[in-house]
Order: sequence, then structure tokens, then C-alpha cells
Amino acid sequence: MSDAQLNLMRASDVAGLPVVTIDGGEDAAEIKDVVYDASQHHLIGFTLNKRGWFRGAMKSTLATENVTGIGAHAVMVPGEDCMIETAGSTEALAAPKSDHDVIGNDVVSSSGAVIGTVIDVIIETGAAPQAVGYEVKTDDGSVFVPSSAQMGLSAQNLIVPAEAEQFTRNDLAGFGASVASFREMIGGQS
Amino acid sequence: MSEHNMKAMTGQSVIALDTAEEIGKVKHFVVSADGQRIERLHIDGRKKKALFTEWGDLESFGADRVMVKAADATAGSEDDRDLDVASGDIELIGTRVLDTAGFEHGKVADATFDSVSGAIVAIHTDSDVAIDSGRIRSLGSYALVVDA
Repeated sequence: MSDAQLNLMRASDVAGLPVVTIDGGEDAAEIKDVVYDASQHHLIGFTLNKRGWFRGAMKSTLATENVTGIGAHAVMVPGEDCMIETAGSTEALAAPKSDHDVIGNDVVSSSGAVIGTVIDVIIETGAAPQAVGYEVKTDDGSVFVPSSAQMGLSAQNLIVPAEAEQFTRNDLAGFGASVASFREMIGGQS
Repeated sequence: MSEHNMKAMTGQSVIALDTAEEIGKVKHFVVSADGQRIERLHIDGRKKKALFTEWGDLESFGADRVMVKAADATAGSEDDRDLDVASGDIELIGTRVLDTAGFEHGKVADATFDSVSGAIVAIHTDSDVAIDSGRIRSLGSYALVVDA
């Protein structure tokens, strides 16, 4: 078992956070939505809203690689130039494909049992933010399932491979250690 | 080096050496965008009528009075940052402390500065934590950003 503990957040909790510049201490934007590619289990970036009285969608987006840190209170970027006009953004960020969505999919174990429905994506915060799993609504509440390249995805279903099932947890704090252990195991297999 | 606390010095009378007259009071400290030093003092007026004294025009920063070399060593400013400070939009005391990982650490309760050079020495949070100026990255209208 790994001693490592990752700091995790729900993607839905990132929405609404201010985007703050490290070089200026200014709240340059607000996270509107998280752009996620479920087919690759990859966090692409964020769409943005304006701050202050003139709220509304910004024409700029923020790529994950331009983020310095995601914390409980803010998304940190080096400077305002990290937010790029949508026209200059990558296609994946400027125009996310509909098959990149995973919210609402049934989560099915490799043995054929339906675990529940995807209700959120779980993000590892810190200096290199990335998606690490899913929150799944079950009959008894919710559980957290680590993502992996071996997960099968269709428009309706997300298949959890057998090796990931033992790392499922029912609390976000415990899931941080579980993801670290899962990674160790995957690394050991490769 | 002579250290003073910003909070205690706010409101202090500013006296001109050449006329011995009070020309204003310390209303705000204009701290540089990198949060490392005091560049000038806002001593009178509001918004676009605000008057400032450059740090280099200060003779001394005493325990009881701030001494300025000459009564005419004050001027208005059209600099956006100066005006933001004068209007209270950028204010070190009371601003939130945010680290580079995106976590807040309370608000700035006070700051210690070197009254000779104007360098910020440390800030003190409302949870009584001192943060050395070496960890400060910037001061803006939203936050004082410090290294995580």
C-alpha cells in the first residue's frame, strides 16, 4: 500500500473558482466549465467567465498545461497571457466533442454488474492537475473509481477493468491514497 | 535597518522639513506590484485628486511623525496602480493571502517594513503567521500571492 496522498477535488467544485494571476494578484477570470476528454480520461482545460459586475462568458479559454495550481480557493496561473482567445485555442478546448462527455454514463464492472452512474470527474490538484477518476452515484450513495487507459467507454457505458475495482473507495479523502496505490500497481505492470 | 509596522504608521502626520507644516497624513502605502517595497505614500485627497509623496523624498520615518524634505514634494498621479491604492482597491492590510497552489491563508493583519529602504520585510496574517517577503510573489486587487 502506498503512503502517498493526493489532493483531489470534484470537477464541479472547480467551476466558479477565480483564476488568479501569480505575477499580479488579480482575479482575471472565473472558471465556467471544465473541459474533459472522457475517451482519453484527460483534463483538457477550462472555459471562462468574466469576473465582477459584467459577468458572462469570456472569449478566452485556459489550457490545463497553463495552470500552476488548483486549490480549494483559486485556480492559479502565471499571468493573464496564459488565457488564450478561443480562436487560438486547441480544437479540443475551443470546440469539445460531444463524445468527450461521460456524465450520466452507466458504470459497469468487468464482471457485468452495474455499479452506478457517473456524476462527476475527480481532479488531482496541485502543480500538475489531471483527471484521476470518477464519482459514481450508487443505490447507497456514491463511490470513487480510478480512471485508467484500460477503461472502455461508449456513449452509454463506462467499463471499469477488474484491476481497478479493488481501488474503489466511498470517500474522497481515502480515494487520494487509493489512486496513488493504483498508479503504483499500473506502473509495476508496465 | 529600522523596522516599523505598517498598521501603526497609518494615520501618522506627514511634516515638511522646510515649512514645519503638516502636509497630510499617511492614508495608504503604495506597495510595488511584486509586493517587495513601498514606492510612495498616499497622503491626501481622494481618487483623482489624491496626492502622493515618493519614498525618495522622505527624510525620515520616525516613531511619531513622517518627515518629508519639502512641502512641495507632493504630486498627483495618473498611474492606475497609484489611483487603485488611493481608492482602496489595492490595499495590503486586509487583503487575502493566497498561495501559488490556490489555497487561502487568511488576511494580512499587518506588515513590517524597513523605514530606510522601504523594503517589505514580512507580512503577518490574521492567524498570527509571519510570512517572509522572500515568499511574496505579487500584490493585486484580489490577493497577496505567496509561494506555497
